[in-house]
Amino acid sequence: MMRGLLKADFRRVMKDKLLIVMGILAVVFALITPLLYALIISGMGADEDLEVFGVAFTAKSMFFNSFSLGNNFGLILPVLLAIVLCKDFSFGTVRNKIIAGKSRSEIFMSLFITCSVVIVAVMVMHAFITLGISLCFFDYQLTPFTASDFWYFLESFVLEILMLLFVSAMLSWLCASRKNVGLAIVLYVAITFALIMIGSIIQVAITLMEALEGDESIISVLHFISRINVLNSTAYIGTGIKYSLEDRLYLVIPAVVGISGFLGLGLLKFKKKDLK
Amino acid sequence: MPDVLSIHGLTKKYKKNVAVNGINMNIERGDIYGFVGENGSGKTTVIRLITGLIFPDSGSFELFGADNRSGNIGKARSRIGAVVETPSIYMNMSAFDNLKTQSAILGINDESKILSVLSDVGLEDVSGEKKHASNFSLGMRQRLGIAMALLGDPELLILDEPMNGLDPAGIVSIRELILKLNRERGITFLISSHILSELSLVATKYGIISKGKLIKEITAEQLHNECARTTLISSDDPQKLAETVKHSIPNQLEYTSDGVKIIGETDLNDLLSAIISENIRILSINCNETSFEDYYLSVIGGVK
Repeated sequence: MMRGLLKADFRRVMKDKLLIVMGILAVVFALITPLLYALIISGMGADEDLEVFGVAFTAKSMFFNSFSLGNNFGLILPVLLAIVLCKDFSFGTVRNKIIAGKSRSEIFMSLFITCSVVIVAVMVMHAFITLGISLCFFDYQLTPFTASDFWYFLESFVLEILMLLFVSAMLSWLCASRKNVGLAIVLYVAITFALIMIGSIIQVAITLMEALEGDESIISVLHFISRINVLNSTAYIGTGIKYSLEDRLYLVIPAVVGISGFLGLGLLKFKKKDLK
Repeated sequence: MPDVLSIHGLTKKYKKNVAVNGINMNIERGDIYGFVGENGSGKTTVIRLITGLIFPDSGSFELFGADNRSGNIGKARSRIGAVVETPSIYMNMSAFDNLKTQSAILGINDESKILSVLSDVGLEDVSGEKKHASNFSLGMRQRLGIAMALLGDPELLILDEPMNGLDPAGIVSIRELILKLNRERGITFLISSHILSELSLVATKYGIISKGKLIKEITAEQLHNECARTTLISSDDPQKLAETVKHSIPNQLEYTSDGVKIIGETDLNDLLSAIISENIRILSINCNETSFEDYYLSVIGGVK
C-alpha cells in the first residue's frame, strides 16, 4: 500500500525547516513583486489603462506571471524542494522503505505525489497572495469582469497546475536518478534555462523571419517547436487571449507527454538503480 | 530448522571488479550468523543484495522461502529489519519522530511500540526530547538505527558492523540486546563484523568471506573444537599410546602417524601416569592453543 509511504513522505517534508523557508519566500516575493511594479509605474507615469511601454499591468497578469518558472520565486522553489526531496537519498532513509518491502515504483510515485502537492500548494499560495496584493494597486483587468472571464481564469489556473506537475515530474526524475542533490539541482536549472532560452531564441527568430518575409515552412516549424516547449507555453497562459482548441491541445499534450516521459524515465532508472 | 535465508551462487560485479563471487550461504531460524571478513571482502555487498538495495548479476537467494526474482520477495523483506553500513535516520528529526516516520511506512499506529523499541536499545531517555539525530553521538545513532530496524518486529535482523563507533559500555549493551532478542523473541541475526573477539561472544554460526568468496561456513561448536587447546603426544608405539589415551580420558581424539592429538583441556598428570605405567616411551609432548583470529587468518590465508 502506498498510503504508508505517502504518510511518511509528507511527514518528513512537514518536519523540514526548508518548508517554512519556502512559505516565507512565497509571501515575501508575493509582497515585493506587485509593490515594485506599482512603484516603477508611479515613477514612470502610467496612463489611465495602467500601460507602460505598451505593457498592461493588471492583477490578472501579475497572478499568472507569478507561476512563471523562469523568474524569482519560480526558480527558487524547485531548488529548495529538490533539497528536501533528495534528503531521503542523502540520509539513506530510502533504504528503510526498500527493506520494509515497498516496491521501487511505489517509492518513486510517492516521491512524485509529495513533490506535486508541495509545489502546487506553495505556488498557489504565492500566486493568490500576489493577486491579493496586486488588487491593492491595479485593476484585475482592463475590461469589466464577466462570467466568461471567470471560466477563462479557471481554465488558465488548471493549465498552470499542469505546468507545475511537469516540473514536479522532472524534479522527481532528477532526484531519484542522480547520486547527489547538487547534481540534481544543477541539471534542473540547466534544463529549465535551456528550455526558456531556446523558447526566447525561437521567438526572436520567428519575429525576424516574419519581418523579413522568410521561408513559410521554416517559420511554421519554429512555431511548432515554440508551442511544444512546455516552459515556453507558460508565458501564453493567462495573457487574456481566449484559447482555441488548437491552443488547448498545444498546451495540454506536450505537458502530459512530458509528465509521462519524466515519470517513465524516473521509474525505469530508479527500478534498476543500485543504492548505497 | 528451516532456512531463513538460502543463497545460491550470488555474484555482483561493479564494472570489472567482482565484489561478490558465486556465494552460497545458509542461515537457519534462530541462528546468530557471524559474517566475518576483512574490509572490502564483500560483506556489505552481500547484505545490500539480500536487502534489495542492489541487484545481483547472477545467482539467486530465497528469503523465508521467497525467491528474490519472484513477486513475493517484497512481502518476505517486510519480515526483516536491517542496519546497512550507516544507520538510515533523518538527521533533522528527533529519535521519536524518526520512529514515527518509520511507523508510517510500516503501517504501525501504536505509539507505545515506539517507546518500547527506544527502551530496548537504551534510548528511553531521549524519547521525549526534541534533540535532532544530527546532535546524537555515533553510538546513539547506531542504537536509533537498530530501533528503526526493530520497529516492524523482524524475524531476521541484519546488522552491518553494529559495534562500529560504540564505546565499551555500548558494545556490551548491544551484545546483550542481540542475545536477549535471539533468546526471548527467537529473532535470527546476520551480523557482519571484523571484530572477531566480539562476534565470538554471540555467534552460533560463522561465514568467513574473503575477496568476494565465502571460504568457510562453520558452527560455533565446530569453531570451538578447531580453536580448542590441543595436546600432541608422539611415541615409538603410537597404536598402544592411542589405546591407552582412549581408555584414560573422554576427550575427542585425532590419530596421527606417530601418536595422538587430544582436543580440549585434559589433566596431563593423570594421563602421563597412565602412559608411563603401560611402559610406553614418549618421544614428545606439544601443547597448542589456536585463537579465533589465528584460525581466521589460517583460513583466509589460503585465498588467492
